[in-house]
Amino acid sequence: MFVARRLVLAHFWVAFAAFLGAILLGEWQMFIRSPLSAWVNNPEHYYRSVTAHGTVMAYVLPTLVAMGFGYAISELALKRPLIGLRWAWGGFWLVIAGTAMAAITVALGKASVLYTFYPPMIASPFYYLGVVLVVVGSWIWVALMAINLRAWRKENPGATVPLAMYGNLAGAYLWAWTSVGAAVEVLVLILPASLGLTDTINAGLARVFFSWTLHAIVYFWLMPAYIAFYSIVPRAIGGRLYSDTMGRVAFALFLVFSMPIGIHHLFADPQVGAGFKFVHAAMTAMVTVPTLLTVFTIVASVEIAGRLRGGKGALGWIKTLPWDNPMMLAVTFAFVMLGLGGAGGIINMSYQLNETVHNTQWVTGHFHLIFAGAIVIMYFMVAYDLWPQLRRSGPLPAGLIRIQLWLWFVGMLVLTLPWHWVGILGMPRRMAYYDYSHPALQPQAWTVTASTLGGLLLVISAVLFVYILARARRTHEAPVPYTFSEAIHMPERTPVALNTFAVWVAMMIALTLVNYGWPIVQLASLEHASVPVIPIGGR
Amino acid sequence: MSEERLFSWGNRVVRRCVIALIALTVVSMLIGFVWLPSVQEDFTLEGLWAGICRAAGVPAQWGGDEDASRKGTSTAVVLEPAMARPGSNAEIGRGATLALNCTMCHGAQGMSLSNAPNLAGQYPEVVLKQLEDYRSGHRSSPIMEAIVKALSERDVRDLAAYYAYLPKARTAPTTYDETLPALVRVGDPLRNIAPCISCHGGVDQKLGAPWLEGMPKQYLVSQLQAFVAGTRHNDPGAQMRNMARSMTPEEIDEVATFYARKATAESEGTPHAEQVRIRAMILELHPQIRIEKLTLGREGAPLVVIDNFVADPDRLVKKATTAQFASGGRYYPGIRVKASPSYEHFLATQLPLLVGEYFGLASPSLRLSMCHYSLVTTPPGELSLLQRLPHVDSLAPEGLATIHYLFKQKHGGTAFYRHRATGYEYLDPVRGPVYSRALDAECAGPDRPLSEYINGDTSLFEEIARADGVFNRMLVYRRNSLHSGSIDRAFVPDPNPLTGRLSINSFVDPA
Repeated sequence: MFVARRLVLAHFWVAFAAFLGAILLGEWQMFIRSPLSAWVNNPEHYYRSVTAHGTVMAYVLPTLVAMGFGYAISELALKRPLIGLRWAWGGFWLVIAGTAMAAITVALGKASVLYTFYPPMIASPFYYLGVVLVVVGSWIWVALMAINLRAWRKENPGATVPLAMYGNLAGAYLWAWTSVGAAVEVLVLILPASLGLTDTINAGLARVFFSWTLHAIVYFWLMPAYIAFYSIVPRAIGGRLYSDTMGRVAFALFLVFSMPIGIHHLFADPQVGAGFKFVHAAMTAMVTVPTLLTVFTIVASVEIAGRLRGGKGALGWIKTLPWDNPMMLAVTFAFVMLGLGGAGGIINMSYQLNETVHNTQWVTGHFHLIFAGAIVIMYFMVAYDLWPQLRRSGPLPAGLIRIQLWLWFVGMLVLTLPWHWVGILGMPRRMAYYDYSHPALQPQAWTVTASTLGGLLLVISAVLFVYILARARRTHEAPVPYTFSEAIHMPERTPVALNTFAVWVAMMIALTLVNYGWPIVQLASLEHASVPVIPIGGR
Repeated sequence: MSEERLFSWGNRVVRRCVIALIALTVVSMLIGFVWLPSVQEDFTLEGLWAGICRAAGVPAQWGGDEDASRKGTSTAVVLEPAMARPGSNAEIGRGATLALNCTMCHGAQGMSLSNAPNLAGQYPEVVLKQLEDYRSGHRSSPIMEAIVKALSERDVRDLAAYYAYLPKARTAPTTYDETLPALVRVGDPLRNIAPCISCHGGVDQKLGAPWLEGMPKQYLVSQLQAFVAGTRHNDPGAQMRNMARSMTPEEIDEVATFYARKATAESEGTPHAEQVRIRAMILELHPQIRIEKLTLGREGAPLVVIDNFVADPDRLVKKATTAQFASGGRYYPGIRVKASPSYEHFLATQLPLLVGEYFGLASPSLRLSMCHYSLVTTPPGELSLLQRLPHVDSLAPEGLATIHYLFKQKHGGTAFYRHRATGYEYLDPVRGPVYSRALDAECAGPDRPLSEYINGDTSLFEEIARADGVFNRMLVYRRNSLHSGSIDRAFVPDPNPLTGRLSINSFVDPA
């Protein structure tokens, strides 16, 4: 790497320190509402903790990982020093300042509104301003990624953008556009109410704006993991990428379809018309396409690795795979969790099926399995893979890493499968306590204990993760030059559409206008649509 | 490759993608807006276009019969955060006068002696909402409905401001632990009973939810029973009716006992509310008021002496005889009790007119941060070091202090001083540290003041002005002037407001 080493390291360290704190909160939440603990005397403490856990895990951790990984990709894939290092540090400090501001406000009990805001509940303005700073800091990253690619294109006219950088930019553009929804919600609707300028809020409209962000943010979280699937995994397990073009198609499809589908989070909201709910459901189904493309391509790439190692026959290659390689283990775990979570996701996005699981523990189980499971396990691998470059250390201990990955995988399944099960039985989410003495609930009590134990495994795994990173020592040898995966057949020419973003960004914006334009205009122009705000922690 | 044009119909990839996306959008829209609604009767009832509009979230009419929805409304009041803002001094003063009509049931100072609810410290939006509900008939009570008819909207607002201003029945903080009844602390999730403390204070205090602690038990029980029976139905969304209906009579008794218990537990050691009452009254300036504007010492800080201040000072003294004094704290050598809101209101409105210009007050309205009846009762031998020295009440020059003498005996007045070592007659943030260092050094030495009240020059301080304690005289001075009560060494402490050294002391700040 050239100049961004310390920058990337700073992003990762802050991300993982915050992650460690937030995971402890998560486990505390599981414990106090399990039969192992008495009911929490002050349920507000529970919601305070949920808000902090969600804010860190959903905004701070993925944003910092995407930013840090993005800066690393920019230098490693484009093979040129990062342009705008000062701006990048500026963005980093904005994220830190925002995180601190939001965290302090939450800790004081002035913002127990959960990270999804939920107007007409209104928190202290400092909470929202903190979140805004985090987002603004990340916008600097978006701009820098675009500027760096542009500079590279000037030096390499007509050349194909490396796949890792293509995915990186897809994630950046996706984030830039998707964060607009929540930004409008906060700046136009919530902050005036929070600052006391208005006493009422158009909560229905605010929820529509948040849904604009809410689903695509998930794909922003997912991008670093997908970049790792395509551009790190095949190299790390000694294989080849099956298709470079397939990767580009997957990133382009994410850009188009992950954005204008968020109303599937509002199936139970009466203010949105049924027609739009169906259209969003149909387009949500389209997101399975790039996901399945990725699964196919990566499994094929893994098969190449198996065959290169002498595997024969229809399934014989599986045996010869490098199972002691942590990356092999991680990608397997990630796909198992992605498969289970993805299947659950298809149930969530189906207009009718959603009714059976809406706002139950099923939903909590779903997004933990997909994000905290499949995605975050790849965040770990990204960090492990980059660490020798960043710390100039030797290779990290594979044995410890395997233990850490196993703990995370088993812990995540033990945490989330019981949640899915009781969700189907109707257990509501976001409850500070359940009455296990009630005969109707008593049979479900074990599931909450099980999830608590699963959470404990995750805490141990998280501590181990940070320990492995922290004990890496600088060695005097120069690090092995970093490489990304090579495709088995690099296409002679990449279509210009798959080497640029203009078409996909244009489609993303056009589809947003079609899918969100009318609901927003209609709700904004509706009379008597505002309700009095409910200040939280005000007295 | 660079020759390949991106935005061109000739670009195969782009062309196919655009066509596919448009096709997908059109097909899903047709299904979502035309086909699926066509199998639902409520969508197709008024034709295809109406069905499409409905699927887009725009029904032909909202909510159907408007009369029907109005009939079921539990209240006409929309609770807004603005309703919870504290009232101005003027509103509180007006409210205090209006509240004289309420004392029969709700007690003087808002502490009920009957089974009517306490109103002291009640949140303003609660009083507003209940009074408006009585007015509109959403809550019924023959007495209250008749009373509220005579009140204007402004009266209601002023009353709410006044009651919110009074101190709450509870003074000690509650810890929320297992000693509380389960329903109060955690509710009962399976019966959909939320914890009381999640709305009524403790975990959160929701807008419009009343302060309950210290309420008469019988009132709480009767209201919960009324919610169960549906005879009280002004709770928005039937919140309280749904809670109360799930509660057993024993549970109603338990939570009512809990909320009522606090007042009695805390009033141990303090007398009955009857004795605490200081009735609100109408105050006027004395017709022969006399104002003397002076300056102090070399540094010339302002002092105003107002003689014949109020028209009926004896009434103020009489009020004090029914008040319950308590210890004056670290600084005041005696006992104190809050003066009546009407006196505060009177000062806040009169002082700007009488002395505002002389003290250079820019703001036309004033705020009283303290206003107490005070009686000097500490024997000289028990005075703390601080009480044996001239003092300032703050370092900021804007704040004023007043002392209104309400004794006819010779109990001394107030004197102003210069600190000999530093020459200071007043302090400010710069002088403060210098002064305290000097004084600390002096008090550590042989000049440490004796155990007696200050009266005249001392080895450390030189008296620069003195005003005698004359009945119905008021002094107004800056709080940062060095001053002290000048009390005779032979002073005999007397806790009787009729014969003791009674005064009303206030701190006045620009609002």
